[in-house]
Amino acid sequence: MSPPLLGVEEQGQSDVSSPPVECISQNDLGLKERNYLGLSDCSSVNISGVSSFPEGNSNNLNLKATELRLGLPGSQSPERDADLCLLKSGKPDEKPLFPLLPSKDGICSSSQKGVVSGYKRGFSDTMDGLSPVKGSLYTEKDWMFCGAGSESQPVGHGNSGVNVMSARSSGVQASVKKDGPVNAQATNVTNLKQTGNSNLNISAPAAKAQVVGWPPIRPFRTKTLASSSKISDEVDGKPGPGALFVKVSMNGAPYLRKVDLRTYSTYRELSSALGKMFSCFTLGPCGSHGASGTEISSESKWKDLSHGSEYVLTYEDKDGDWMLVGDVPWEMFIETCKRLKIMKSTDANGLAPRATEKSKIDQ
Amino acid sequence: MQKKRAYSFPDEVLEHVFSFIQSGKDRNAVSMVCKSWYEIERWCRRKVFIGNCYAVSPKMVIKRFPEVRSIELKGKPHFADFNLVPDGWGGYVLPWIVEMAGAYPWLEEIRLKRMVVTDESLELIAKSFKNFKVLVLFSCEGFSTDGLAAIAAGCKNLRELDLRESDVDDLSGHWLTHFPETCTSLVSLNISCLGSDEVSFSALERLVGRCPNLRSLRLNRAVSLDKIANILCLAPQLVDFGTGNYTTELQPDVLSNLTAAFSSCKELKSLSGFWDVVPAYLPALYPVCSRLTSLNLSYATIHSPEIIKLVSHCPSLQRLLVLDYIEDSGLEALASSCKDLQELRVFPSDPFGVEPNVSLTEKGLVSVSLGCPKLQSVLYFCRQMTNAALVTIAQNCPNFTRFRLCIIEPKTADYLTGEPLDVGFGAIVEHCKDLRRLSLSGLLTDRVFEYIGTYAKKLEMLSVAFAGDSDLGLHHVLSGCESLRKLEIRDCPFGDKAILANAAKLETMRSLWMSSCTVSFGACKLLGQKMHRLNVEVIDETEPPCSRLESCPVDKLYVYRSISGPRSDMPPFVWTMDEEGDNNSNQKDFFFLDMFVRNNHYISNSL
Repeated sequence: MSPPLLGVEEQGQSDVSSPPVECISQNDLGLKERNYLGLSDCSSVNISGVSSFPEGNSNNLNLKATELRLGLPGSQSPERDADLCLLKSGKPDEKPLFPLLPSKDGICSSSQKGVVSGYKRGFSDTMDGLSPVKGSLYTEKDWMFCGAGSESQPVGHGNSGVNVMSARSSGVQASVKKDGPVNAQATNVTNLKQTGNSNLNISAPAAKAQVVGWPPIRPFRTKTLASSSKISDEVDGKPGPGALFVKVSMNGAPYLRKVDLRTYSTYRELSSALGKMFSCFTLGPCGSHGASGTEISSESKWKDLSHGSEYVLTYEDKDGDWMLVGDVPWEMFIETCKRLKIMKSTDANGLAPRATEKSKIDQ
Repeated sequence: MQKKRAYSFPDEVLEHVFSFIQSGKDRNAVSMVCKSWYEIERWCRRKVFIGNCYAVSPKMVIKRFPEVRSIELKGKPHFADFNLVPDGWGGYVLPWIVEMAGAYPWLEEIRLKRMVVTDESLELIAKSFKNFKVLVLFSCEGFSTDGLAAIAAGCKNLRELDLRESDVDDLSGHWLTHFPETCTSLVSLNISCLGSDEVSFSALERLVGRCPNLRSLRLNRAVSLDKIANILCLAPQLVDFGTGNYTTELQPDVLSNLTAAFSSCKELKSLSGFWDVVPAYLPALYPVCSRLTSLNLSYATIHSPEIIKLVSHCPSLQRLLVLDYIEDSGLEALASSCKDLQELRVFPSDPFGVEPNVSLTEKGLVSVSLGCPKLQSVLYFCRQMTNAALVTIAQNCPNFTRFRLCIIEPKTADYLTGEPLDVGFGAIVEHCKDLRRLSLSGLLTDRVFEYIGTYAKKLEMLSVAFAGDSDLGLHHVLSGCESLRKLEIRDCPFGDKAILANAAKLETMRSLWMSSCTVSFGACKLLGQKMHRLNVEVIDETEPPCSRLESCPVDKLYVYRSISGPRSDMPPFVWTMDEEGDNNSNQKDFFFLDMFVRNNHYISNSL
């Protein structure tokens, strides 16, 4: 574990003795007036453990920037912003709220566990438990990637700070295609972009990755715009607008979930994400919580369940018919899918026979 | 001996006097004067507004106000509109309906915003309140047209059914047939959010035909243009009309019929709808344009020249909602035609595109601010902004009450100077002394928050995203904004210090939302432990916050004041911080699942 973090924790606890009701301070320094250009001593405002942040690391930060390691899932989101500010404004005095781990090798899942950031949490756990589907592209760079974002967390909800809409090119990769593995790699680049810092030396993306809930437009409006543009033929091959939220239901689950179909590019990703989302309903409320060990088992239990044909994924298409998921090409599927339902396979027998036949054959 | 008797009126007199006091705030003030006024007032309060359904329990409300006829409840935090609040978080109305069914048999009005409403709730409403008149479901979800059928059939005196922007499971248009032939009381019907392609149009026509008091009718997209003329002829008394889709095959009669139909509507002041507009049919609106005060073209994919033509016929316009197809040129035309304009909302037509697809910049907003002296409320999506423009706007419009600017790319600087937009927004808060609502965007440092804390004394709601440098920013807002009620923040480097230092402030506010910030789990626990009248909810869908270090930032934090303590309907991914540490009793229980399966049977039945 990284010592500065421990320092933070201890200091925080020791200073909280008997705080007055109106003002609970974690330390006695309170908030000083500061020069708003940010050139003053930041330590009074930052969490105290950081005040010993060594100057030398600012050089590391610059190096790290060019190595495209900043702002990655599993690293700290506040620091990401602070780092980026630092790079942008060239003010070495600005200290991030959380210290960077000094070596990139240090960013491995177990040590990261304690330092997971705002909107990229959970990936370290995923990395622990799952063998990376996108394998070799990532091991050399030692990243926590959120290409597995669709696998490791319920998509479309605020926790996933990054929902990759489409692939982007970057300075690192020459070309990025819009399918599974490369998507994930691109995502790391998009994480950096997420923070909106345009001063990093990454070449302009071909298309934008999407931040959840931004721009702040209601789903009703996005849906309407999407179908309007189809009607007036204004979409000319560019990536579809906005998110494509569909409801997912499962008998016995206490509430519906909504997923954004555009964040997946294959059936496998979708099925994986849904498995995680609903495993807590099939396996009991504790299924999706806890240490990574449990996550492996719940994911694999889900897979067992679906391969063992206990549950199947079905969807309602534009004509109102219920079909088994998986028959049509992905692109066609997302165009026609209105909603999803996880059914017991026994209930799914009434579905389009051709589809059922096909799935039997596949198994 | 002149005792207090000489100065006290009989209760009935006071009650009569109080009946002239309608505003909730004033009534609250009245009830604080003395014990007897408290008592009298509570017995005669007819209308209750509860801004956060978890701030108080239904039983408490009923106990204090036994004779309520009208209730308004709000559930989820505002950011739920942008998918930041996970499904299942809460905001269920059923417990309220259950309690009120017993206690308020004469309840007439229910208005809900961002709540989960089930068919069961709707059925219970239809069954329990004999004199039920008004149902407004604003941005709600969880129900289907089956529930609406129950309302239609059961509420004999229904006056208002308004489903604005709700997410309804639209199973079929047949629910409209459930309005009995004897129903003639409708004054307002808004079904614009219904998604299905079927609408029982004949039932709709018959309903409209027999309701002579119908003033407001908003149709959904399924209703095509050729049907509108009929409807308008049946209801020429309409004041507010929402079209369905504004398209049909070009036929000779349609335009003339439509024009005649609109001409017959002498009271029409407000128009909306306009999905899929065929511009050739817009001239049908000209007969009503001179009287129009409100026009919502925000779904109309028509371009600047057509918009300009239409808008230049509307000199009385007070409220315009439009897509950015209007462009700077259109806004200039607006500024010269519509001198009474009070509210402007410009939405992006291509919010996720990288490059701008239209020529809409800060200049458009500047023109409007210059040409429309009565402008009070602005919602503006654009891709570029300058401090100079904002300063000009602020100087032109010191009467702003709501200013929401969304520069689409986060952290966009002033494109001329490269500076943060602190000074621009600073000018807004400095000049607009009555500003109640503000949304920030663009590149912003702690400085803008200093301005806000210094000047925005009447500010009630602030929305912040991708802004600020440190806790000091948040501290400025919490310590300076005296009227602050709702604060929602996402993706800002604000952490523990500001929150803990201003913990008491949070009790004076309705709620605080922070997501993807740097508030640590330890601080949340501390806040929950020390502030007993706050519910401190930590939301995390991937893993329990207690499985990590206390110094780790929480994913989402929602803090709100409450006198009913932590709620008991939390899903597994929400934890309340209270005296016992983090608490989610529902994580362990299958009881939780049972409770919701019962309450939400629509989920399994309707699919």
